[in-house]
Amino acid sequence: MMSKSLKGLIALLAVIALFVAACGNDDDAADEPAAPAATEAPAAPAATEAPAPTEPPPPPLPEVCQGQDGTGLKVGYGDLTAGIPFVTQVLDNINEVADACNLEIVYADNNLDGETALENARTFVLQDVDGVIEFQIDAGIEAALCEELRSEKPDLPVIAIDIAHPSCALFFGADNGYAGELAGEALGQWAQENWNCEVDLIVTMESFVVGQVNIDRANGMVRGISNVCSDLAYGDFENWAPEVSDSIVTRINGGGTTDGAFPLVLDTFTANSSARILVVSLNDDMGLAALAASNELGIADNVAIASQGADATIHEEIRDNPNYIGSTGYFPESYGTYVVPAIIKMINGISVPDPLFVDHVLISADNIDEFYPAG
Amino acid sequence: MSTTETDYPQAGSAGETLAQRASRLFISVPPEAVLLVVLLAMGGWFWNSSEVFMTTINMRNVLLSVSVLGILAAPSTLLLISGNFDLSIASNAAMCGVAVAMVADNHSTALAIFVAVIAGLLAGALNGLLVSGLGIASIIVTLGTFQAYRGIARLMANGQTIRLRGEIDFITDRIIGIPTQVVLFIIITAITMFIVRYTRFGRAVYAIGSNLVAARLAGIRQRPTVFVLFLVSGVMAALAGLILASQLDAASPNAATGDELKVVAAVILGGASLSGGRGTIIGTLLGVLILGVLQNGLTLLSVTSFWRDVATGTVLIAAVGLDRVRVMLGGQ
Repeated sequence: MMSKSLKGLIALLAVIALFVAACGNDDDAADEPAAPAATEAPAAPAATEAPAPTEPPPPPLPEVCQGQDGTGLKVGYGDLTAGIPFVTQVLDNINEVADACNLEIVYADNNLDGETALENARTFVLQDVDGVIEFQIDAGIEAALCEELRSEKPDLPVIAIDIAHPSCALFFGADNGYAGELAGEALGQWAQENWNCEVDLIVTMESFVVGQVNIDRANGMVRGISNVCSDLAYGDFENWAPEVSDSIVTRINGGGTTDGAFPLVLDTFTANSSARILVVSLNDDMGLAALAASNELGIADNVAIASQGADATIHEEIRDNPNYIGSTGYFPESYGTYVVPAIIKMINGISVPDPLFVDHVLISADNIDEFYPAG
Repeated sequence: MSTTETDYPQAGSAGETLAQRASRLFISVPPEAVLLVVLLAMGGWFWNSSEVFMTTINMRNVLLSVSVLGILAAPSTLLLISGNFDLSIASNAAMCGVAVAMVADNHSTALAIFVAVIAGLLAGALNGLLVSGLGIASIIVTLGTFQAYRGIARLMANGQTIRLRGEIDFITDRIIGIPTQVVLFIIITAITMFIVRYTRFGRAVYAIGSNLVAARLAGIRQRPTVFVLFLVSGVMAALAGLILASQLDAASPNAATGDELKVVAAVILGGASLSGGRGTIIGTLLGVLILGVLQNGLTLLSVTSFWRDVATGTVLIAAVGLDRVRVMLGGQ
């Protein structure tokens, strides 16, 4: 026995299915090449026949496309997650550049979760995309993800942002170790000029869960300081562990957020309140936490900070606060200018260098207006 | 939470061993005393291990760190006593923090604070309406709004952290050297304690959580009471959002992520029952302080975050387990 409501539900689903099918037919029709306008016009006397209308030439592609036209191509973009400033800027720029290069982007949110990224990969395959730009956090599933993505098209072009997917993807993203060194060296130089490298404590604001990226950046930042102030007790920091023994380096697992890092850095500063402290931070949000804690304890003059990201949230501090030395620019707002032309090239069989790195620059008070004009 | 002498074996019998006397003492003390002992033991150990721990500035740090958690935990205790949850409270705080930063960017600070409080109130009202009006379980309603409010915060901020332009003076200032947020935490805790102990509303909250049918028969209006609890929860979330934004000079849509579980942990640690009808504000206050002191002390000792997580979980289970043992012994 089928209940009345169940029957109603089935009928409703049938209507929706018919409607969707009808819409699909419309789309198919729309996809058909348009008949030449001349054939639609009423026939005119031969003597007065106007020259056959020609289609206006397409507008030239902007420089950002590097000559690559994405017309008719569809690319899946697996976004890391919504709600993180860096990621939002990546998404916005990919959409902007894709629009400019006539490329259709199929968006999916990986939600900081490998399982979700796999589900999204299946969706991309179902939607018959021509290429995929993958930005997902779980390096452990890269082989499974690649297998999924290439289940229908064995040569499907794939670009992986920031997390390597060696089984199938070209790597694009940060050179984390180098980016860290840039910030560390700037901080070391500041310490040399202002404190003659007499530093009591180096605090690294990290997010352990991020894994290798965290290790590369954090160690790169400490290495950068050590390149300038070589006589400090660094211990075996290169061999990453949550605690660096016999070292002035203290790692804080702040989880990547300002409010999460604040109490931890506040307590660490309190335990070393008369010390000269250098702070290097995995991102700008945790740099803000260190800044807030040093202000709270009234020790801002004894704390110098450098971070990674150069997000808009930190620009004011870089401009105005002499103890906020700078932040390495990853330029997420320009990621699209790298990956969109690259994926079109790959789809068209043009070779692209692998890995493809962002051009990192340390954003400091000296050059911030060049990259991010005030106002 | 006092117990009458007739509930437990009488003291002073001649053949009583030391173990029996200790056991009797253990089961006769209120649960808050157990928490106080845990807190003092932890404090003593950290004091012995770190010369910085028992300094004025560090005690202020502990209070600064727990004030947001404490402000969120006060209304959550009332809700849990009434048999309800507000899992959206931290998301609501983040949403209100973003609201204050956005409005303060172009308008006066007073308007920004007003907007944030109204936003928190509306968010609480929506929870209250869905729970008390439509009768949907609070855990389901607030699980939904937990996601929705976080999403709204991210939409408002476009996923970005927003620097706070206007000064929220009344929060960043100090009152006789004490940060205002700590003063607010103390005032809110004191008011909530008064409400729970000395008002009809407080007694109604206990009655609803203990036995809803009996409470109705006694003329207690359950729906308006629960609605008001969610309103209060919304306003406290707004205040927490204001404090977070003001303290950090920045508002992130991801702020207070996971704090809803810390709040539940603190309230449970304080002796509240998940099934309602049991819990005290003093207990919650001690729960909040235990979590705060534990994190502070372990950070001062440079214990890695992995061990901090293990220690926090262990203390939570140990404290609740100890209380359970006490209840079981008392029942024998």
